Amino acid sequence: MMDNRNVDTKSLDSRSLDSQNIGLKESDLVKEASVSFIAIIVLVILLSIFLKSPNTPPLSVRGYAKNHPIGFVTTTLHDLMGTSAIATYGPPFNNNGTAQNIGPISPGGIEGVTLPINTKNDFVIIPLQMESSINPNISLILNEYNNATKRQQNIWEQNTLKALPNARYEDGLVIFPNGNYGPVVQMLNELLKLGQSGLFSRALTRENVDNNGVYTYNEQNRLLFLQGAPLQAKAASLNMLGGEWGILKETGPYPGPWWLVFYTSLYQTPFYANSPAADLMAFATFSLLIAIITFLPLIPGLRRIPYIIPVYKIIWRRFYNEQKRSKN
Amino acid sequence: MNLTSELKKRIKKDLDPDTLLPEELPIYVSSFVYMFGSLTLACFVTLIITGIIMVYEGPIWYQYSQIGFFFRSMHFWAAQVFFFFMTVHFLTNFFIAGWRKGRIITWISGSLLFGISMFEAFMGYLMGGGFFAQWNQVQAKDAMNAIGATFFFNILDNGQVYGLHVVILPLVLILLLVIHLYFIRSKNVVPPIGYDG
Repeated sequence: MMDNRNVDTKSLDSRSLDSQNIGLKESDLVKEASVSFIAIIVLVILLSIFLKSPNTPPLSVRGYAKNHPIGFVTTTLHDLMGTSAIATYGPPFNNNGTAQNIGPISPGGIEGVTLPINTKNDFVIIPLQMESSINPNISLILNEYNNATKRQQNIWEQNTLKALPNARYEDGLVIFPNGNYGPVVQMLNELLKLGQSGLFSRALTRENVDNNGVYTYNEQNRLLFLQGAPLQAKAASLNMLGGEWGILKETGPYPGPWWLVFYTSLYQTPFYANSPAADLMAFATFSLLIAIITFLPLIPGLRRIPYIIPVYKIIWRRFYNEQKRSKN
Repeated sequence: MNLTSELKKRIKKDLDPDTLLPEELPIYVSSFVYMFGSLTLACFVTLIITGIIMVYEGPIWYQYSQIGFFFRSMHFWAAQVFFFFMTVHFLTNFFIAGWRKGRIITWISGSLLFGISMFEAFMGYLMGGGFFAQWNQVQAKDAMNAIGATFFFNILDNGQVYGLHVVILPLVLILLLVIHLYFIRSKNVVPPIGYDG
């Protein structure tokens, strides 16, 4: 379809092309776009028919309570004691930890607590209060706990924590050796029952005074309750931890977001992985890379790379050969 | 100066069908590398179509019904193919120095499309409903918290993730795509190195 007519359409960079006698060829952009679209649709349909898509179910609170009752009780005990990963996270959830920083730069620290979470109340006490409207006996154990001094509460919680390695699960309850646990063990077992029933999830994402009972799509508390050991254990079993290029790995034999390979690779290097500000540093580095790519034509040196690595000679080899032939 | 007249002149000049849809192209536009841009665009259209159907029917439909799951699979694979072609398109344009001769805005809009698409696609992965979504939603919050994004964006709030993925980011991408395509057509295809004129 090549006819080598001289350029005279205003759509082209005609002066430069004209002066070098570069010809035109017939083109049908609409046909090309249509063929591309049909080809992609066919390819995607075939991939969908033969390979389907990832479908590994998430870890549910109910599933965790049923399959790992000791783990569930451990998680709730740490939430009650204020020693869980979220309880000690810092901004934006609370002030019990520090935000990541690079020198004096700490965007999270400047922002402060924007999504306040008190794990003791939000993950333990309030769900139990909600349950007490169905089972009034829970009010008794809650009252005993709430009326105790902080020191007494701490003694009960520490005793429970120490006894946990010797606890066993039997007939729907976690049984502890004899000891001075106050109402704490009963509270944990009530939460376990709530968890196994499936109601605990909704107790975590409950209607509350902050949103005036308006229903939302916010899954924050349900996700954060499982943060730490519950999700870590499942991720580890699927080789999806951060140090194992986890973000790139979909479950099953499916590709993950491989286009984030540079971002994920940062977490594999000790400089980033061992830093307490790993996330901030990785995000800053990735943003810098995107900025460099975006403004690459304006950066001396980098914009010369295509001339130094002459891949363009392969891409336009036919054109260059034709030009050479026509000159000869 | 009459601004209306100026705008009319500009529209006539820049949106001329001969400029936007030429029936002839320079002879060097014969390499296979020129296909990758249109293939990327075809994937984007496929993502928009399958995405609209999924949004209309809702998550329960595309997670649990057979036909819904098929559309979910199409959306998944279209995203994979989209990134494959976009990456190749990006690399080939880098190696032909596609920003030459006044095509910097074409390059910048393309790079922004690439970067924002990464975030858009990751939001899509977080809406997959499976363990990957759950695990990475919790993991990604650390980066969002570290950069102080929770002031306006809580990645654990599926309402916000959903809104970003199906409305806000697609609108940004479509706007950038229009700019990208407009500059490709108005500036035409970059000539081979050594034939810059």
